Amino acid sequence: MDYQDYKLSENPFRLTPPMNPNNIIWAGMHGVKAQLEKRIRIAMRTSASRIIINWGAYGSGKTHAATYFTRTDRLKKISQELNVAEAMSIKVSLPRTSKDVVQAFWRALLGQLSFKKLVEDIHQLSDRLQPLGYFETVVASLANDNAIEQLFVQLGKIEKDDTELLENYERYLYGDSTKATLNKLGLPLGIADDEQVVNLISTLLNCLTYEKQQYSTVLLWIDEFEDIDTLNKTSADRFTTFLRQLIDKTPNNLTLFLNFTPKRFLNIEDLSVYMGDALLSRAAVRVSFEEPTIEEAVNYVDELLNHHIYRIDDVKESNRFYPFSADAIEYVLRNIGRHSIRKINEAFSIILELALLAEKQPEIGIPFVDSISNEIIAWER
Amino acid sequence: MFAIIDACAFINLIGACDDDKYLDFLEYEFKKIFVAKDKVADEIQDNMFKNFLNLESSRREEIEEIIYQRVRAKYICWEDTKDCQDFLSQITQYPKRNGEFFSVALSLYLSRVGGEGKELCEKLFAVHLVTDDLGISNDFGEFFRINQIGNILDTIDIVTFLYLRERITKGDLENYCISLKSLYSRALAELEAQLEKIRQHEKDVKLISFFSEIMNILQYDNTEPLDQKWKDFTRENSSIHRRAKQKYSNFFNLVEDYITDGSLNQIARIEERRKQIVHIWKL
Repeated sequence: MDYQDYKLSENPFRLTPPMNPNNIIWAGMHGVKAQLEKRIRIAMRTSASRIIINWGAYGSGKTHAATYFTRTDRLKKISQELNVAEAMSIKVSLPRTSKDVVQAFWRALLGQLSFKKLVEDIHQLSDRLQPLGYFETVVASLANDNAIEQLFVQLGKIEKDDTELLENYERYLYGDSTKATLNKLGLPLGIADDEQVVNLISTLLNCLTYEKQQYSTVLLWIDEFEDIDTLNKTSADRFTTFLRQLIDKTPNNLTLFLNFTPKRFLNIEDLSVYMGDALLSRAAVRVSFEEPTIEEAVNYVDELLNHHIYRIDDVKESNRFYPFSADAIEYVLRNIGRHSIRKINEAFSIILELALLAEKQPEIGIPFVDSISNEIIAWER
Repeated sequence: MFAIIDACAFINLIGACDDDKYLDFLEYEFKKIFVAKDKVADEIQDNMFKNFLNLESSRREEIEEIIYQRVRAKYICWEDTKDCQDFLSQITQYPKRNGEFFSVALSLYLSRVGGEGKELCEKLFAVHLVTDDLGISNDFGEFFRINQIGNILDTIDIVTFLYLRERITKGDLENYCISLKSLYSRALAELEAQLEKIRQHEKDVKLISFFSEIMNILQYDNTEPLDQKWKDFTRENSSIHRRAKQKYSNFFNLVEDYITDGSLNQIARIEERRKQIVHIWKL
């Protein structure tokens, strides 16, 4: 037997994120999605920059939310509904293993953004403003640093096919500040200290969202923010100072989502130790990724099983959960302890896989679940 | 006052702030600092870099230089403490010959005959063993007390002392606690990163689910003590535990080391101490 026998294209209870953005879907958890989209809509329509803390247990879907809004076309649809420019969404994990946490963050951000895209976006701004004679004036008003201003003006004017020069700029942005590179680019200094990184990122974001024409807003998701407690205090302070300055110098059109999983000895109230009052007071909005109730979890399973990318053949309304019986779904959910999306996916993956191996299992009911319950790790014994 | 520093205290005093400034302060405040010649210097060398992730080679050289300049060239006490070791072993029946054992033996020796003093026993009550090993007070606290050696202190005690002596500020003391906690949190974060890699590459859904539950128990589920939770969990899933252990033996060794080495107890202790800073009266 295979998944097709169960009228499924593959296992819908994915354990790792799909590579293909078309296969990244949102199922269930409508409350969280509505809260996030409300914040995104506000960000697209209004100007003030904000910090939002997404918090919830391990496996509750915070990383998935960041991936969903970063890699799918959902933001495009929202922007079309609102008749505003698209939003840019970038997901970066908190750099944990680097001695230079701010530089590491910038390199990860640039890696996600891609140098090519960055140049294209600056060109687009330049193409729009150059004919009006405003480009340099606007960049000067948006930059917080002369060297950064010079860099952006140069990037806006560079020939797109000048690959050698582009490579030099790319190396420069990744931290190459050798004399030879600086001479070639005619720039006074490299991206060396934290303040310059802040100036660089804030100028970039200010340019991209200028008058909300190219992008209505930028959503920056910092995943695994709870790992801030693995940085020594000096590094943690550097990083939070960097975030505070980033918000200060990008006063408009930036929404910073901090994904935070409370863990042993680090609850949300302990964040003030790391973030300081100045930054924490700006994080007034908190989105809680609550543990789903039985009804919400049933709804999640229902939507996954019947999503068009997984359901390959119609099933009767009375049998929506096929190949599972409706009572088996609830039976499993009542027996796996506290729910997280990850745990639900893993439990149902095991059941589906064992049912396929068992062959001749046209429907997965409670008797079958009972017969294999000792194989389900989360099963409460 | 004399300070005897064991390996974990030395490593924490440097590792927490990536600097040897606290050792400088200690040298000002204490008449002399000692490290036991047996085991301790080697333990420092062996364990120092476990706490430094992705350390640049130039920084590693600097730290090696600190170890050499401080420990090898300055702190090691070369005097013969064999009589004290024999006595300690006979009284406490302590079975191991590790850094803690040799540090306590050295403490006993210095309280009676060692150091620069001219008279015997002039350093009673004046020898302080600095260690962040949680078990040492259980194993040797009574011995220390009845022999009137001095105190067993941890590095937070030392940094608090420096705060009271106005070498550092209250903020520095709090930051030390936060940074010290980060050293113990890193080990778990490293395990988590390894676990995530395994989850990404593993195809067997039962193993993936098993690993997720391990992560939940280690990092997030604080409903009961970790060692008990771990015992129950592995017993309830004994067959898959065996299979996972066979396939990922290195990872399981690290998990079991982590559970037995008391890092979580350390984090709990450090958090409590940090919150108690407001109870310290300073003139």
